[in-house]
Amino acid sequence: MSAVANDAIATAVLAQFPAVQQKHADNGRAFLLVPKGDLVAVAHFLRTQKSLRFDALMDLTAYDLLKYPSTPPSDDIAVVYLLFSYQHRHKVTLKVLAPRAECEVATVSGEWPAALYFEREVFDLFGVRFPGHPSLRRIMTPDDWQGHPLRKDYLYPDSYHGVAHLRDGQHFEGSPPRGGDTP
Amino acid sequence: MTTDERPGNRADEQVHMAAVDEFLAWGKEHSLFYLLFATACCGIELMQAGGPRYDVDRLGMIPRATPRQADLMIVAGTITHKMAGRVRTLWEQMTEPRWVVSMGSCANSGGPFSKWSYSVLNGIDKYVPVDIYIPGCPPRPEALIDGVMALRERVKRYRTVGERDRTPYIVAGPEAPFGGHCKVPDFTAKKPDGGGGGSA
Amino acid sequence: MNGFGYAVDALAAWLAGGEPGWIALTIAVLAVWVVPILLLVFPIAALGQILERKIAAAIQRRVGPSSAGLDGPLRFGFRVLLFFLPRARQDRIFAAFCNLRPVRSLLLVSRRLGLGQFVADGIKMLGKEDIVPTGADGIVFRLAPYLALAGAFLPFCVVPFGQHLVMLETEVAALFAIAVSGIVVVALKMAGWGSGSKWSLLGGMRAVAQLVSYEVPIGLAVGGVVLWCGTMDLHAIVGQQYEPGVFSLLGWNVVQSPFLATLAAVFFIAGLAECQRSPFDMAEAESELVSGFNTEYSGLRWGLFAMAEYTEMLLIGALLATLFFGGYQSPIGEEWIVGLPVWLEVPIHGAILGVKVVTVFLVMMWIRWTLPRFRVDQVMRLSWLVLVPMCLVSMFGLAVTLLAAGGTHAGEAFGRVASRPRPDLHWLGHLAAWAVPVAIGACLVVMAKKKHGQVHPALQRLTGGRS
Ligand code: SF4
Repeated sequence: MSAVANDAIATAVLAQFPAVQQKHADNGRAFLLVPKGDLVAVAHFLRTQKSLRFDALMDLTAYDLLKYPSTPPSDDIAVVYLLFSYQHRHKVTLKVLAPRAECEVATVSGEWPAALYFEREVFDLFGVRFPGHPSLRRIMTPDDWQGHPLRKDYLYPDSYHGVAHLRDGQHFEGSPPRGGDTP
Repeated sequence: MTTDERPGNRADEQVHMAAVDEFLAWGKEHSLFYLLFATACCGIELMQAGGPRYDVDRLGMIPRATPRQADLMIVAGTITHKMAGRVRTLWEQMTEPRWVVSMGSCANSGGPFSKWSYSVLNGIDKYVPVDIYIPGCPPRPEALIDGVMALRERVKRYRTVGERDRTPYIVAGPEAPFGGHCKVPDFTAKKPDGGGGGSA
Repeated sequence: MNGFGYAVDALAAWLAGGEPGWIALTIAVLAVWVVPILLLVFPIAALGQILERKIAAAIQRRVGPSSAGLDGPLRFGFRVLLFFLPRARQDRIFAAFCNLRPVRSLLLVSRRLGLGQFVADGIKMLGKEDIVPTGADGIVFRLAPYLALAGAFLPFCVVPFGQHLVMLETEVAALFAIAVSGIVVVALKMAGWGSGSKWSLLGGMRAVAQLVSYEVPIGLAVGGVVLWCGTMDLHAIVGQQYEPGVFSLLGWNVVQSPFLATLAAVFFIAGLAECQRSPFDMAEAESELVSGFNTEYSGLRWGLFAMAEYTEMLLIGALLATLFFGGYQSPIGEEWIVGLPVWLEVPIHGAILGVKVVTVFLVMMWIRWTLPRFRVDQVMRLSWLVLVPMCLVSMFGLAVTLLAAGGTHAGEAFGRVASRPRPDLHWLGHLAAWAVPVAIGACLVVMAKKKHGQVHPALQRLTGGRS
């Protein structure tokens, strides 16, 4: 089996899902912006299609578009999926935009069980909820943590359980604004 | 000078249990088993200290995997708020007499994470009582051994009854790089050709 | 009856002032047997720990413990002896004593060798806080270390240390040794169960699973020797390995037949597993699984477990030497020792056995610090699919050898009997016992080569082929 060219991957997906947009990526890899509603179907298609067969979810992460030099300016949270096919040795990147207010993306753990932990991490740090995930709990921060630290509007807490974050009340030039105790 | 003040006449030197206590302290000093436990990059230096080149086994120190059998906890590495409670639990599981060495800037004060982090604890001494602080990021094994030697001095003075010396002790000092042990090149000095020093 | 038995009787009679009752007998047995043997084994087991650390250091190109010398215990001794003097005076006398030239150099050497290390470890454990966890089953938890130690020590009763030094001379000595060392299994299970912690419980289960499955090859290996010698009495087995003349080495069981050599190897490997030494230290896989059944033990109780482990290593060495390597007999002729008076004969024989035991001990350490650890399923597979079949085949081979030589045990077949001296060597018989199985093996290898075109490289080298 040989690798399918990047454009061919995009073409195959676009033929099936007209709502998907192809984007340019500097690394030359196929890069698809998937509408929220189509995600699970696209994932299933990518995994099961014979010529594509993306059998591995290499990474699932997210970033915050707030204060990000994007056009048009947006405050969405982008969830990124990096897929790889061990059979065909090709890769594809998916991106889904989740609006800040109603931050939900369907889980892909039905397709790739590896997504279970990744989704917990994205939920923990970005506050993206994944309906359908069997146990969406925090994974990095303590269970009683407040807020999602990698969001750009996250307010750093002053203290955790009464232990101050800055040692001996010292303050640094340019250190982020802080406030409140967690929890 | 009254009779009581003459050397060798104080009560703790006259009671003969003191001899036993001294012997026990000798044993403790020479057999500090440390907890096999490391949370970040400083742990690599800790492992290295047990390796052939630095060999803390010379001092009778071997790692024990369970806190029940350990005498010394070397907190090597970044401690997050989530981890701190676990460290405290480990410390509580250790049997008396127990000692804690805080190794590296992270465990001392949060180190490089003290400014821009929401999750890193700024010093393990907020959770467990620390005997010896070893500065450095990471401290070299020499600095760790320096800290262990300082701790051994303290263990030698440990007595089963009476006050326990808990004053924090900082090895060398921030102005002495690498724990003040080895000769290091002066990275700040200008080279004769005008270039900055230390560009290896 | 041997000389030390008389000593027991005489002491008991003297204590009781007439016909000895059971109290007098117990005291006499303790004084004559138990205490000396404990004194023999305990220091070796304790020294074993420091020896182990030194050997580990040597293998890893380290220095090993070298800060704890004998100065600490010595200072303590001075303090106790000179208790009537003030402390400063004691210090001065001690310093003066230490400054004597020979003393100083001895102390320095002891420090360099780390001789005080086990003293330091021991008294540190004495001084540690003694924790019985809240959820623990107090009695079971407290009892377990002593049982482990007892299980490791008791089999020494039947090990002959010399012609006149066997604590318990019994017909079923080999069975006794195996049965009694089974107590260790119970002790480990109790430790795991009594700790009241899942971690310890799982560790105990691992240990017990391993120990129980390795009892089988050990038992079969001993069974092979029993079959060969026609007796279970360890002292008689040692006697059977007697060979007159300078080449007394040739009388040892291990050179009698390749099957016995195989059984010796199996016994050693299974013995490693019984002591839970690397590469079989599944029970206490320190770096991966916190120390298993002894996770909750602190201080002296843990020290007892460690002591039991080292004692068991000594035991395996002693049994291996007794069953396969001529017991206490010297490899360079026995006659010069046998004729000596008891007080000379016993130490010499004891020292010879000691050398053999320590050799096995050292090989065990060498293996531990060289080989990585097996996976748990590999450990089990090794026992049931390799060692046990090897034992069965060897036992079968031994039986066939004996029948072919015309007897039901080596005494009949080859004129080897327990009572000594018995100068009758049928060297042709021994030669045949080696040559026939080796020839069969070679035939098998050649056939395999013919059939499959290739065999294992080691076998290929053995049969002269290119590897
Ligand atoms: S002090 Fe430096 S080397 Fe040590 S854990 Fe922190 S960042 Fe790593």
